[in-house]
Amino acid sequence: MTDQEFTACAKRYLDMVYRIALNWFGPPQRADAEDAAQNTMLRLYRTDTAFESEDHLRYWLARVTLNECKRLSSSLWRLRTVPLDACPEPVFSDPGRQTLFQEVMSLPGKYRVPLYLYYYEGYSVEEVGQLMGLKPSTVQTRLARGREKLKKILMEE
Amino acid sequence: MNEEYRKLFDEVHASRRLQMEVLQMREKQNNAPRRRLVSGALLAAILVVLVLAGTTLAAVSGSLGDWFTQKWGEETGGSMTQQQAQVIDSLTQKVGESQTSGDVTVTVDSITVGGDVLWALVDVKGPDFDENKIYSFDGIIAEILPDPSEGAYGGAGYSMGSIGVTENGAARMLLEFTGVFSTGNQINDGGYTLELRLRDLIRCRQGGEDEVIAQGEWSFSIPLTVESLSPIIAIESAAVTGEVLREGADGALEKVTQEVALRDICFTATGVSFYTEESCELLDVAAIFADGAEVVSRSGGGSRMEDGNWYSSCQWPVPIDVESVTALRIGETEIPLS
Repeated sequence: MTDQEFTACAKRYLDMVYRIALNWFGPPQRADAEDAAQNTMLRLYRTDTAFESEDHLRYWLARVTLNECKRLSSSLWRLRTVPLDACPEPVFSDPGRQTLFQEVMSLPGKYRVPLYLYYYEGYSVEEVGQLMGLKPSTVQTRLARGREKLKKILMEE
Repeated sequence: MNEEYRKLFDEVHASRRLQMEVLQMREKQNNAPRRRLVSGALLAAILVVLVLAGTTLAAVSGSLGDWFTQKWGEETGGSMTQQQAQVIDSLTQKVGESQTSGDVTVTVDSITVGGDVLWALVDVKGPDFDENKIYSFDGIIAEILPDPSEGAYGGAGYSMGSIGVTENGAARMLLEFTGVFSTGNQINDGGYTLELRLRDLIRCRQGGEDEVIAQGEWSFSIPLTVESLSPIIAIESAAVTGEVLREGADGALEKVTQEVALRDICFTATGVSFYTEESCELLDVAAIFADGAEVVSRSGGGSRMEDGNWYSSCQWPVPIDVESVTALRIGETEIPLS
């Protein structure tokens, strides 16, 4: 991948990578999410993978991000996680949305990640399962439960 | 629901700093991936407020040695031997340096320094402190200079919070700093300085905004003295059972339990470090004493190195006399020490 190609990819997909990681770790561990995002982009920079299409690249990034999240989660470093001034919380155009974000992110991580991949990134249940190493039935269950909790939150808004 | 959800995440972006770091990645490809507590040239640790939820604080007195004596009792259920106390004394230096800003005087009383860990006892005097509350600083920056990781892979973290109120009314705080320096540099070799910068004294509130009770800044630059009294035990290699993460052909990660070869194991009064060929789940390490007492490592971390190998380091919750230790247990494997 040339420098120009990498820069273009980073501009297109860094937000996606960061959002997946943020959903994995949750806002209190956003420093970990940033680490996972940075490690993912470093792997993109170093990879020899010949991407066949934009979808292939996007899927690869989603998978590597989840792998990096798993790697970081297995490190004891996370026991010292802290809210950092250096990693600002997302800022929203509407204060109500800030509250909504906090409530959505208060869902357990096992629901947040499939919900995000399914509803925001548009992956199918099977694809979410492949990305997360879960059976489609498990993904279905998590989506259903997450959706139920999410609906409750959104209706209260 | 879908639309509202999408709109929400449309507004979630990687921070400007992360964007810049990623876009400049090609220029810094030889630098370490950023651990949250590492910056390029300096090892800059970032604010951690010690969470003492549910802890009832009481009046405290005495020295770092007294604090370690209490910790020893908590860890082993027994009393500290004289030899053990001597090791802690040998690692501890009196500082007694004070800084005053407004009505608040902050004194770094003493520090205990190991290879990649240090504890500092800090007294804060001025306001009326309630022994049932927790105090800290709104801004805390602790750095070891020069950078022990020399810009290579590594990281560090720290915590600081009050552990009680002294008899003369000062809030007593403990700074705990731990690092993983794949360079093998030891911060107690005489060439390093602790830089500590504190800003705005706060009363911590669980579940609410911390309250600033005194504004001000207090800065300290404390040379770390040479520590050469406690021996280091080197073990060339050992095989233990551990869990490693493997990436399959399809890119999926899975945990595999297998034999892990450790090499260049270094056992000191403050921790254990070793190298492995691949990343493994951090292993619990315990020091086993002749009387059956055990001290189990409390913190630690691993760091990838330039050559692809991994460096792991873990710290004891209290410095220990290595000569009194009869065996190390790493993971489930016990390694007798002659």
